[in-house]
Amino acid sequence: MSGTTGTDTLILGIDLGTTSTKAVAYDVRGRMVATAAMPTITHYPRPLWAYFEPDELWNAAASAVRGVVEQIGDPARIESVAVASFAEAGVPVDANGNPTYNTIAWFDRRSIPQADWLLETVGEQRLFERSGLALQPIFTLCKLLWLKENEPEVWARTRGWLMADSYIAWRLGGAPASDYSQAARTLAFDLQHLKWDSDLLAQVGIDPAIFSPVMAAGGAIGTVSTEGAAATGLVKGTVIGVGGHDHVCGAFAAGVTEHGAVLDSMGTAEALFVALDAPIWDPDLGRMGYTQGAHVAAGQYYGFGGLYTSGASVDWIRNITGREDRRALAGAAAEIPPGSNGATFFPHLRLSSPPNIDPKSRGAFLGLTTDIDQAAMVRSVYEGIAYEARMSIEPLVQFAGSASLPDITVIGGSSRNELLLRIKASVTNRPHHVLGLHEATALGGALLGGLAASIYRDAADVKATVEVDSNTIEPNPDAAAFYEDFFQNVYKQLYATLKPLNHAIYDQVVDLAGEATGP
Amino acid sequence: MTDLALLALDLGTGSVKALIVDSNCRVLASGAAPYPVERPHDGWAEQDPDRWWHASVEAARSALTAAGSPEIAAIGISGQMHGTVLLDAAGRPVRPAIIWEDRRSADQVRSLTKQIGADRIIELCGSALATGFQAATLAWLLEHEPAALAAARAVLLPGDYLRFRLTGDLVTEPSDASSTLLFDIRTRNWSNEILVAIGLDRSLMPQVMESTKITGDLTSEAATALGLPTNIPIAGGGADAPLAALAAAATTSDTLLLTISTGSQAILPATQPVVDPRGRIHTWCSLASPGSALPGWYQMGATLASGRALRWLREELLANSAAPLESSVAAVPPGADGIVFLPYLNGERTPHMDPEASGAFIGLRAQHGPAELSRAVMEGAAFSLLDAFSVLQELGGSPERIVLAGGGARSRTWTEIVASVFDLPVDPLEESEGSAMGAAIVAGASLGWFDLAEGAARSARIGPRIVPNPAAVEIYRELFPLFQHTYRALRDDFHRLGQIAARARSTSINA
Repeated sequence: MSGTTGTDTLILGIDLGTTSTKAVAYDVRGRMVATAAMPTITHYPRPLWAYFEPDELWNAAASAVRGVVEQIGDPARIESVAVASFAEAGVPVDANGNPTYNTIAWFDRRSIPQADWLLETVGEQRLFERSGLALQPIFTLCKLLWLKENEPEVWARTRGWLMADSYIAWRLGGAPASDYSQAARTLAFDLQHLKWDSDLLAQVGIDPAIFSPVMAAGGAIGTVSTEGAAATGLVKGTVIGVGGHDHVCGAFAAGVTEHGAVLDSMGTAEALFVALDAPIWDPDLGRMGYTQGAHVAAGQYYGFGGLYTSGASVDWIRNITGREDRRALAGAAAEIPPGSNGATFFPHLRLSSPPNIDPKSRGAFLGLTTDIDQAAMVRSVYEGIAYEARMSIEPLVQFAGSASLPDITVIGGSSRNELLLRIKASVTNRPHHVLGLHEATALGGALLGGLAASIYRDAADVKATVEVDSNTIEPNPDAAAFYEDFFQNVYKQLYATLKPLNHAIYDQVVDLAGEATGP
Repeated sequence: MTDLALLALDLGTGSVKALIVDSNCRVLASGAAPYPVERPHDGWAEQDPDRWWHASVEAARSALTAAGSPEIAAIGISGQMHGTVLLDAAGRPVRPAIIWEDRRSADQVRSLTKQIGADRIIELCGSALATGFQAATLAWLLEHEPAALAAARAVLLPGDYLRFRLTGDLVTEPSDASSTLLFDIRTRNWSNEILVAIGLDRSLMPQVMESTKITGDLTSEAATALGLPTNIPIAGGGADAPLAALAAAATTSDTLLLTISTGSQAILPATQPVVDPRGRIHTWCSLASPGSALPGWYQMGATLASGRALRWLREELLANSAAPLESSVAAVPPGADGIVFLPYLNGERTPHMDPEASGAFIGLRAQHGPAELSRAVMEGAAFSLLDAFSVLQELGGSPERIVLAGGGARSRTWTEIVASVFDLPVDPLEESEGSAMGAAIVAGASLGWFDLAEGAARSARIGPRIVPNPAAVEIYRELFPLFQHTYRALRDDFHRLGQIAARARSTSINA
């Protein structure tokens, strides 16, 4: 930490998320001092489409910051600011920096035809070789191609494209810049050499100059302007840092930066993140449904997998049981031995997880007998989530060249579920370190701003300075032995067993949908 | 004659029911008394025969009082099938009865089947051997409790033990005796071949009389206990399953009786003893004597969890509070939005004969709630019955209608599901006294008041017919092969899950 930093010094992080936009001020040790949130307004004009209005994004961010400033009282204490945001989405701007169109949401699916076209004309292999990504319609390049094709007038006026975080930074007064973590989600980025893939852009007829210059996250891009200060209450001159992709910022805050380190971010969905010191160039990575990108930690990369229905499965079983009391339900489940008396849950309630990507997959309960009660069913849901997470993380760690799983760092709302954590520790037979991090994403952003303001010398200094409570959950050896057996001999084969059934169900439900209403 | 009444005693697994009916088979009163199933070890199921008797006395007395103590012309007995009571020389049980649910004799089932040959057992006895059946239980006793068997002078079925307490006679009749697998379904008598193979002395087995014959009279001791005059005749009676079919007037081969209760049964009367060489169904003696107007045999497939599965869903998973209304279940389209439920919560009999099978929900999505799950359970139970029925079809059965009995008939949605799953019209049996009524009909027939068909016609009350819905029939026709395939696909996993769960339970790991 810089010797000139006072105890009053605060750093500000903005977390621009899909449902809410948060501003959080921390002291230099990473302790939360003030926080404010505004809803992120999402527009859904038709099926598959979703967008944000750039001004609404800016207003949400500015209001949240103003909320924090009001709580702190003295905005001069805030020395730096940086933004963490969702990726893939951005703001097309004209020569004066004014938006020419709205911000197509990261999860918007309108650009499926453009993705198909890319696959045909450029090819899966060429796309993967540079970007390290398996093609998905949500990537920025597909959105750009959609705009070019469907809004030619807009396209003609468009001179630049600011990723969502850099649009907010630009409105604050910073220079346009894209960090590597955001750039890596465009599909038009050379992940190895950390530069725009100008060959690809030339091939698809897009001027590479549309993108902002790439910079490492944590670099300084200017200071808060008069307009920025007026909108947010920040002091003019506050240092603006280059931010990054939200979940990568969260991993940075959690200290998951070294090659092979694993972060499990547990919420409704569960994100599994492995820090890497080089990209993975095995195309199976993408075929299995994993993705990768550049870290916000200098020179590092990451691999990414996860479950769509983790906390969502717990919510689902709780809704089915009609029990409001989470604690009572978990307490009863804790009394059931490992194996849930035979009940086995397969958590593909919405989508499947890597390495088994399959849109037709569905959830299942197996091994049901009259001896199985609600508590056993709930426990089986926890166990199913834990097995599925292990299914998803193991191949990713192998891609990273590790023979076995490391200890696992855990953040996120569901990490408060102690039984679930105990089960996860035993299912993986690895200690789980649950971090007491408040708003990891915003903290990651704030720390990047702190780097820009030279409050911290480098990532190592950040790690040495930030204080995070950690609670370690150790595996239980007996339970771990049981789970190992079950995982290897039953759970690993479940997807393959259920696949033909789920495909038949999918085909039949699609066939029969709406054909009859009576029995 | 009209002032005379019939008393039926229906010895079930959880309780005994006493039923008093008039000569038109109208119910005058009923009473019931419970008793427990003792489970001294995993998979064991025993009952105290004395408690059967005392509960029977209690239930009969309360029914008689409620009916105003009418004059009883005859008593009929319905018995839970398969079970084993050993009596010593003094007529006292040597040990607790080992009932149908008991699964201790798996090794004996395997060894006897190997020794005698599965084909031969089926050919002689109409069924494959299973745990809990008297033949298997006796083989177990020979091996593990030889002293108990040595002390025994008689081996009885549960219903026949009740008869013994009523009349002092050691007598059985063909329908219940069929369920022991010691019984030749063609000669309608004990099979020497099977008895010899197991090493049992034929003198242990009771005399066989036809179901509609009077087998003896009430002893003074029993009469005193019941508060009845002595010398009331006791009819042969029968096994609970065919008696329930009789009460539902499912007495001819054009009528398939489906009973959806805790477990479910598909019963089809058969004019010939046609057996399933693969042993997936039972072909056993009916209540009708040879040469009478009604088929002398019936074929039966049994599934183990239907009402039990729905109750399990509601009580264990939904914890009642979230149990959906029938209307919301009815509102879920056929196919339960892609959920397939295998109802094998207690393993399965017909057609899989797989005690290690377990239940499964597959095709689950985040939007599914109690209504979809409930419908899936109803459909899964109906599919499992269709699976059982398809064996009867293979053997030449082609009924034209279904009589639906049990709790399932009380659910309009379930009845509609059955009609469309089977693509047959369903006549739901209204509130029925089931096997107890069957026993009363047999008692009436034993007195010559009516023949079985006439008694059945008097007793059965059928509700409005439910016909299949063509659109739903189409959906179920496509889903049924998937239901069947799901079991085959998961069979190995079920077996592994069962083994692993048993191991986890036995090691009591905490985590």
